[in-house]
Amino acid sequence: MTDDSGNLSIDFLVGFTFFILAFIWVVSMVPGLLIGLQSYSIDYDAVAYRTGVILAEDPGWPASPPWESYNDLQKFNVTRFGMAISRDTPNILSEDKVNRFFCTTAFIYPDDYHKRAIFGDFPYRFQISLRETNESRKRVIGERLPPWYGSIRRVVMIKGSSNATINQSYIQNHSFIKTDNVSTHVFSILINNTRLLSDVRNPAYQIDPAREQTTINITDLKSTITEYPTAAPPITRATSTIVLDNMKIYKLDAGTYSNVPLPVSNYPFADGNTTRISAFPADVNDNITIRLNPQYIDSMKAENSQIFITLQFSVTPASTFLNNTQVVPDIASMDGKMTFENPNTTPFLYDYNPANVTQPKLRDAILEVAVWSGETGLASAISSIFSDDFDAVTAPAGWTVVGPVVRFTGTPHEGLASIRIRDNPGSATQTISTAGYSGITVSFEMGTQMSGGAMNASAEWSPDGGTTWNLLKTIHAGDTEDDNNLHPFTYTLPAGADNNPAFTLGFSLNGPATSGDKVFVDNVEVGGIGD
Amino acid sequence: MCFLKKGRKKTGARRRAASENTAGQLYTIEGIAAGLIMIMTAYLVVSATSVYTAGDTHISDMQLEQLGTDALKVMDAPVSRGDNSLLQDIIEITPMGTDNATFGSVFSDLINSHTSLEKDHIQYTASYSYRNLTDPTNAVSSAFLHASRNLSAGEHAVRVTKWVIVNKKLPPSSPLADRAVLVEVLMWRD
Repeated sequence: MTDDSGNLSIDFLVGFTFFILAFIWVVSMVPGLLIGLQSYSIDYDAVAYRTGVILAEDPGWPASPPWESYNDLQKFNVTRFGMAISRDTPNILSEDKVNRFFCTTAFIYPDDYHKRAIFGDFPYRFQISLRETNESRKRVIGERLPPWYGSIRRVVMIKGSSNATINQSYIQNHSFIKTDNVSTHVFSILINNTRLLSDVRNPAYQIDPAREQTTINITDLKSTITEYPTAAPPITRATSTIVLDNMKIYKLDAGTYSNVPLPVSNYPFADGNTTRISAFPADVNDNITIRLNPQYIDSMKAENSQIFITLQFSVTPASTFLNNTQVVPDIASMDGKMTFENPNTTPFLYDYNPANVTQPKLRDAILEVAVWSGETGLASAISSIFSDDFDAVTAPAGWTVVGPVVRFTGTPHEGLASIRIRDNPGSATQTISTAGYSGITVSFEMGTQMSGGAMNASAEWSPDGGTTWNLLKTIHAGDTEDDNNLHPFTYTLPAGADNNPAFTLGFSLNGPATSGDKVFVDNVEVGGIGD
Repeated sequence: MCFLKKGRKKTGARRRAASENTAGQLYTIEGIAAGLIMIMTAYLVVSATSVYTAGDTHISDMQLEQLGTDALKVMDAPVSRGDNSLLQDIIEITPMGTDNATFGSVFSDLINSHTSLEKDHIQYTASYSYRNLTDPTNAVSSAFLHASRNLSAGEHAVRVTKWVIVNKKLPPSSPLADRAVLVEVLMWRD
């Protein structure tokens, strides 16, 4: 009691407690001190760079068959996107890979792209865009850009595909006309895959049917018919009918010819139609387009093969026609060796001769990858870009129509009128520039009155002025919407519709050629967010 | 104000000490308060200071380098098989040391284009160099190609290069031959 100098005082305990608390508080603030020393975008830039390298310098995986040849149901086998035509040609992109990559009906943002191009578990948001330098249209995957993001910009080239056009002058110059008046004619095309792959080694300029689409246009068919108006029956181009009886593919491997079945997905197009011939025989007026998908050629395993394409035509009445093949012994039991090695057979050569084939060319383009995370915080005030309620008496003015398409005041319609597309073929399309807008939405009312069978009506949009179409809605005969009433539909379109002067909207009646089937369309509106 | 004065019962020894001499004693609350104020001040000062680290600058440089390398690579790729590349043509056709407007427009367009129609503001100066075989010392000579504007002091530029094979008299007094030239571009942001 007389000496307490060694005691621990309460004052000390209280003071020490305060000190410890303050110390813990300060230590907990240390990470905050370092915020000023780190870059907010360093990770985003790195991710964007990595993605840019993958897309511009890597061909993706699987490599063979290439990932872009996988259909929508097989997309889960695609493990990595990459648009380069090969590992040896960085910055040179394959047109087919580009088209497949930006096909937003097959791959869905963000999951499909995150897994195959961005990678990692962190939920990055991103936008990947590509624009050819001589075009204003850009192709986009992803969201609108926030104010701050990490990015990389790459200058690339896109390798166009080769194609051939066999027109009147080419046919005459190469004597591809059989001068006898016969009803059956055969025209053949040779794709010498061995030569194509060995003559040019650089993938940037190589024609490789297993990697790129092979397109052959045969035009001016009727010009090969020599007219004899005084013959019995008279032979005139106007009255002659042409039927494509069949298209067959033969492969020559080590001296052996074999017939390779042609799937319906590779049947040719007739007379500029956007859909392939569905069955043989098929009526043809003047033109045929053969478009062989690379996956079909790849499935043949024809790296060291010659591929012969034969087109068998029937012409009525019997006349001269496109013909460069002497079929031996006959069309029903054609012998490959005797036919294709016959001196009277001179197939059209799909090769590196620019006189025969338009060679692949490289086009400059810009590829950009932007990466960020969190909410963009951007308002999505949608403004109207286009609307048509078809009430005006001039409707459907402004629409490009096929078949009887009229302003319709009967049932069904909203306001004063709708439009009615009647009979197949029948369609109404209009190009509506979305330049300056993103987040495009489309709304319309549609209804049908169809006779049944395989009839259907569809609403579609196109990013390229009608060359390729993306389905919005199909009403089949017998569906609940096939009730002669209008039904509202609204869609938010993928980024490919953004800022696109070639954006096109179309409504059509499809199926067998009929009369009396009807599609009604009203209150079409296209909206977007102003950039 | 100190704890000792705040009503807690004091021991006899403390009472004596307090009444006898308080000089030099740490007044606890004042001390803590002052300490906290100092810590807060230091924290605010340090956290308000933004330090631009090397980690940031290298990203910007890398982006510029990538863009320039890509642009030269694209300019040196022939559009069709068998053609000369644009870069080859430019060097072969342009008299040595003469400004080439085609290089200016194409290179500028490639490095400044976005996928949107906006334009960037990247400046550059381009030249190429070659080994002068007519010189007794085999010195390296260089020739000007194009400059969007002159690089001024203080502007941070990155350098990109590309070897190009050209068929040209280099220097003009020498015979026509396939020669390797190094195209060099200095790029910087405006």
